[in-house]
Amino acid sequence: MASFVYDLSELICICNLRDRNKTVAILKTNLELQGETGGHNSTVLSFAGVSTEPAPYFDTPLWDVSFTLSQGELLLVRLERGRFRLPLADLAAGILEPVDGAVEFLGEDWQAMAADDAAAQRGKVGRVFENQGWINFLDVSQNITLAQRHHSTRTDADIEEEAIGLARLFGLPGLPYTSVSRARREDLNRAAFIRAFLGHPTLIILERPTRNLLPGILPPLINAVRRARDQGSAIIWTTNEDLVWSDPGIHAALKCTMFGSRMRVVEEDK
Amino acid sequence: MNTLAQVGNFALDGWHEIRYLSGMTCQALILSVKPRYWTRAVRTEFYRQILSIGVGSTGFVFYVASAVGISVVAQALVWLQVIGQSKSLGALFVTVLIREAVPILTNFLVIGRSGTALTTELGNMRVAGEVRALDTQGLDPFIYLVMPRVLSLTTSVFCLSILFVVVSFTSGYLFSLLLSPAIADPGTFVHSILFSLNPVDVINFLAKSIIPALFTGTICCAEGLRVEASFAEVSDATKRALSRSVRALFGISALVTLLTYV
Repeated sequence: MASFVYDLSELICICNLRDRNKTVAILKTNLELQGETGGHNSTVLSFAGVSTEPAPYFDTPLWDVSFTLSQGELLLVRLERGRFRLPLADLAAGILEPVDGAVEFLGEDWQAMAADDAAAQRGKVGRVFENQGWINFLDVSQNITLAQRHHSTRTDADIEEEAIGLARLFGLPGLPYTSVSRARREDLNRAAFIRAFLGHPTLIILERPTRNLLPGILPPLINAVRRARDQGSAIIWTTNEDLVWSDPGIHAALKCTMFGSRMRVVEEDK
Repeated sequence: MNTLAQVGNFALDGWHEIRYLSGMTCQALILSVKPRYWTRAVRTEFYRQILSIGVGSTGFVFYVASAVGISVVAQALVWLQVIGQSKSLGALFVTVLIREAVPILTNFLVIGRSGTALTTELGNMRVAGEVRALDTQGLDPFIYLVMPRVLSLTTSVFCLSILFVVVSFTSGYLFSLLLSPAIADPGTFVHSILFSLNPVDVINFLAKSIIPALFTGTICCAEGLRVEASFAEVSDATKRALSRSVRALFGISALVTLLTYV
């Protein structure tokens, strides 16, 4: 209750500021999240003994993976060489059913959710895809704003303004309006960050986000991650790069390494 | 397995497929009347499909309709003059074009031009992982990909059928004036068409335009989304979509004719 009153007073104060609409939108997201999850540091994602079957989409299945990720926490996963496509992100986003165990998002099992509810909850997940995940019949800017235009009631101008801010943060001059097939690979990789961070997602999944962009992308990415964590987002970051794994600026709450199908906790700072 | 069992399995498979496609079509229609599914992204996709299928086919349909109008008139004038009924051109147009040719031809043109393209597009999206990417972002592929395509294809076929009627009648009449200047004046021609048109003809026209188009959209989407892992499957899916759509078109048209005129 105290937390809610504090947030409400903070909301009223900030409503008087110049950038009123944007700030209200951000606080509203956080208030909604805290309402759903029961306050700060409440669980966003939990894996309980999750195992998957081998599938052609993935380099390796998962076996008995368990972890809990709360608001503001970051899970850094080091991947084995040549085994980059893991079912971890699909499980976290609820589009893959585990053969054993359960994956809960904001306290609710993905498998127990109705299809419409699950789709709405997926709107709270931002993701940099291992396989790009661009829709070819849309241009890059439409791809970036697609989920927000589907799930939120924000105006197009508001969504675009936030996207342009993120584009500048990640080293693009603005939103790319070219088709996906004509965009440069590096620009697409940067645009993937905009899509993942747009709309202050509750969970952000970064699948090897720095590939082909190191070392220049690391400072802005770490800044964006820090800001997202401050706003209550939980983050899963997979990498196979030493520079990322050993970067002291990342401050992961949980550092894990993959060995075959098993995930081993290396460091826990909760 | 004996022949009887094979025939039985074939019939059962066909029945299951019809049930599946009917269910999918009904689902698209039911979801389409719920405003919460018409988000900005879905509306944009619907408009994009209307532009691609409907507006994009206008020139093609215009050309075919003109040619059909001229062909029907050339044949009709000869035979009507033989039997001394050259004033009955309007009635003949209604019988030949509105009752049968226009709905079938328009659906046929859209299947060939847009239906197969739709299957290819969705098949390629499946292989490239784009459908999975949509799902991950919380965009239900049925809501975002299937529903707008089925509805836009149906809307387009209906509008193109009306365009077909107008263009074929106009071109037919103008051509008939060239062939036989003694033909009825435009007012009499239009009056004879309207006079020949029964309510059953209108129902028949609507049913033959809309129902096959709904099934074409569903069949093409279903075949595209059935593609699993390889681009090689896309061409097979396209062929299947084409043959099933054409079979559905003629089957439904025959059924509607039986129900409305027999």
